Amino acid sequence: MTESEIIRGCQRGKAKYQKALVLRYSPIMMTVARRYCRDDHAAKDVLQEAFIRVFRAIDRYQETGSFAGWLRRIVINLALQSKDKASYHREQTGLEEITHPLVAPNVVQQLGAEELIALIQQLPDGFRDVFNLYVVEGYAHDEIAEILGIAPGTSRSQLVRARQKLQAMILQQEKETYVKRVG
Amino acid sequence: MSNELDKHIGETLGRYESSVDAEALWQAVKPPRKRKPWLWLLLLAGVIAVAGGLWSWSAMKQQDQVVEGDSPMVDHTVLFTEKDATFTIPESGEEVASTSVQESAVSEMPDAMSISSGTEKVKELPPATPTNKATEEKEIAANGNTVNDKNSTTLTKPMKLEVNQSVVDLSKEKTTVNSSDQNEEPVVVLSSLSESRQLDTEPNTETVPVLVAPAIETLVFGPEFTEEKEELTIATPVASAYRRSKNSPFFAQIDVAYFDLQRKLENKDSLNWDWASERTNSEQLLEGLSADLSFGYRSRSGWQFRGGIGYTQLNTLFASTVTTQTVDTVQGLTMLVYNPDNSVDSIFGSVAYYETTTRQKQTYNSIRQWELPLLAGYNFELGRLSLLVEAGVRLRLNRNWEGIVFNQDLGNNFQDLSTTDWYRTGLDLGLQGGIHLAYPIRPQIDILAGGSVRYNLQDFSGDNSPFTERYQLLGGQLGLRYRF
Repeated sequence: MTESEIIRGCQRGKAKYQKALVLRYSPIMMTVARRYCRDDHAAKDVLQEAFIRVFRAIDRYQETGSFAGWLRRIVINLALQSKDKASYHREQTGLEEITHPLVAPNVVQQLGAEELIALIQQLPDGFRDVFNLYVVEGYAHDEIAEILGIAPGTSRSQLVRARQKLQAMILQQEKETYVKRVG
Repeated sequence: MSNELDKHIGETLGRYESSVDAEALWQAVKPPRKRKPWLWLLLLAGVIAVAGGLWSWSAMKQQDQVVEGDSPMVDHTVLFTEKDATFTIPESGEEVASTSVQESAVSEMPDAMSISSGTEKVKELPPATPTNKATEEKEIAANGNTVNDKNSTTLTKPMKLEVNQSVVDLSKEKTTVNSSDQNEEPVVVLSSLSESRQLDTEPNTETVPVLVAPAIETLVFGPEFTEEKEELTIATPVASAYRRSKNSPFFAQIDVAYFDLQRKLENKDSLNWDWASERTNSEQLLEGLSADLSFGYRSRSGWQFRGGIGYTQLNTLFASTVTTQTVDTVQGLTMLVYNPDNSVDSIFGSVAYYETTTRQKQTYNSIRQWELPLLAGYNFELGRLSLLVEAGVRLRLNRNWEGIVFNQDLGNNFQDLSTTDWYRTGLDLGLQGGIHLAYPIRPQIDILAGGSVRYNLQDFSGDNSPFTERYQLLGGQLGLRYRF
């Protein structure tokens, strides 16, 4: 079943194609949702809501761009909307001073996807969103600022701090692993 | 280092596929299937519309039969041979009718010679009364054969004329009897004839008898009918039309039925007995709905045979309520220590919190079948009613299904039936029997009501189904039968 067949079947409201769409795209979209959410439960809720929205809105989808990209944007938007905005701003304003740890490149390369997702999920919402939008999605700071409703400068600073926080967490993780291994 | 980290994360997570229970997700996001009661309403409306159309058509057909088929057409001249007299009747159906009625009274006419000669007026008679008293054997009524018989009637005897109200009204007409010898056989002018009266042609001492007609030689029915049809209140044609329609052996029938479902559901694998049990508990049997269109033949002896196309839908309701509880931990205050010096120490640690989620799911499942019913029956006549006892087979032509049930793990996971091959799709056979009462609401239309039972000889489940599943149906049926 090709992507075009699935899309046309979904546009006709056929359950068979809707299910095929869910089966095909849910794993990768779950990764997207997990990157933007605090935990997997929240990610599941976002993903579920995203597919419901997709079924409602798929009539408006024009087959000019990537369907996966369209789906991904829906998941990201819902993930961003699902957050408590008040908490989001508190986290942005309550940032602690982060030192500048240095992580060895080989340590970074050893990190698997699940470990990375777990680390990203531990980032504060503001850091996490900017980091994901910039590093994984490839948005520029101006676009991120528009999406999140913040200043571009804030986006830049959030990204720097997110990197520092990640490196600190990676170092901490590496340290704990080392301690376990040695003693 | 930042670039290394960004690059690694981007490459790793950009195409990474997380583990997710896609089936459960699908069940959670699946758009609810809408029941379509409007389909059945539409079908019912269609049945009513067809019945109404047949009813109207039948009524129109009867009217046409009265006017065209049963209206007597006659010539306008009656010859009285013995006295060489001519009995001239104006052109109208009414007069034809009157002539036929007159004919019925011929035997009562003693002797034409006893009729007084001379031009006489018929005595005034009382106005017509609508008592529908027809002269039975010669009544023109609605039977063409009778009319034809009259066409060739030759009267050789003098006659006594009797005008019967149910057939004609000649009050506005004028009948003239011409005699070849007006001295001896005068013209009699029927200036006023009306219904339910006897036109006595015997001599009357006070009023001169009516007709001086020794005999009527021929009555020839002609092709034209020029008078106003509404005056032709010929005896009701319903009875004869009904008799005629009943003679047609072919009929069409529409049935709708509502069934109670009986299901036999077992696991094929004895180790999975929980699955069938769980399915029984979570899936409520609703109803079976059916509609048939058939055509048949009914013999004079009461036997009938019919076959057609049928649609049957078996509905069930799947409902589940699943409660899940997740435990998560957060860092929080776990203890307060009150020291002797009145200071308080806060001890932080992991605090567990529980999140309970209740999900309710409700879906209408259905099995839909197209079938070929072949039925034989016998009609017991019970006066106006008739009792139809019939039985036969239903050859299933096509089957499809839709819905969900619990998955084999019996957790919060569901199995979409439409994606399974759990049911047989090939030809299948079932038995059907029923008893119905039929009542004629129109001469050609019967309404039927009764009970019906359907017994499926084979399981519905296919080789790949984890269950053995079979449905039996018992319920009520309504139908309309149109006899051609």
